[in-house]
Amino acid sequence: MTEPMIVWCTIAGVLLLAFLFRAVERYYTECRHTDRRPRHVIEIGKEREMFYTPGDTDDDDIEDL
Amino acid sequence: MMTTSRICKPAETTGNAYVRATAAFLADYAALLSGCGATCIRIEKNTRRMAEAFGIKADIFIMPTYVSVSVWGKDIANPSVAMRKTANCGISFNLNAQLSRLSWEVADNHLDFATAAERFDRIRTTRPTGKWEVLILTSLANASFCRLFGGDAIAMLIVLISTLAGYRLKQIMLEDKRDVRLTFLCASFFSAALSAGGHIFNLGGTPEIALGTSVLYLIPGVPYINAVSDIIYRHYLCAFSRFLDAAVLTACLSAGLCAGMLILGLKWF
Repeated sequence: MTEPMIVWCTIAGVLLLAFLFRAVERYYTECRHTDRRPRHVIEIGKEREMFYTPGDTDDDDIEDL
Repeated sequence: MMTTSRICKPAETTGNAYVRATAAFLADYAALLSGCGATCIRIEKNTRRMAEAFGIKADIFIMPTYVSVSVWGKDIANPSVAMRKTANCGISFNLNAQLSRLSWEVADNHLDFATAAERFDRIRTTRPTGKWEVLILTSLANASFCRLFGGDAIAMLIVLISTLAGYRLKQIMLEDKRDVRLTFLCASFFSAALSAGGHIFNLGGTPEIALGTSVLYLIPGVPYINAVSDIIYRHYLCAFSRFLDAAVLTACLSAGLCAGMLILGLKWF
């Protein structure tokens, strides 16, 4: 297998994976959520969004001051 | 964004209230017509035609992203002005045709203002053509382009597949509200890279035609044609804006095509 063939297969694979990922994400969203808010399988967020105790300081409030 | 139209009740169809309501209606109409890809001359003619049918006078000022309509009755010194942002509905020949038909119905069949506004509301809730339908038809059209340029059956099949993949990617990225320039770049890169498979795997007799025609579906033809029409009718600002928009998109798709060829090690000439 020559180098261009490997590159071509990689590009085609990436695109195929992107479509698959999208299809899975859509299936997941439609099955699990009745509200129409899209939910991503992988998301980047702050740890505070998962571990927040009422009374914790809110960084955004400090920035506003 | 489309704004809610103001449907004038029969009791209001006199004096200043009527002029104000008509100005708002005509501005909504012109903004939607502009958004769905009509040329400036068509927007002007259709809006004037309806204004005359409603028994008032109107002037229209078209900018690339805004439309302003000035309407007056007997008192020219006291016009009513309405300004609207161009509707973000995407190019649609269906909407364009329906809106033009409405203007002719108002002029020829003497539709009253309330009926015209009601029909307009119905037109703007028209659902766009289904995305799968558009995807398949675009791919078939691009494969036909390949044939027109002398491509053989294998090249047509390659173009069909690369267009299907590239156009679907474009739809996904636009649904996710990605930047349109980045979308064009990515779609053209992947379409070009996939169609370069003909070269790499020695498929068919015309792989270069498959590569060249694989990104044709991204060419923004309507803005280019509208820009020429606007130049002819001396709407230079709109013409320049449309031309520059189209040129930027063309540059993005060219960059994607070149990147695909470069990465796959294809010779330029």
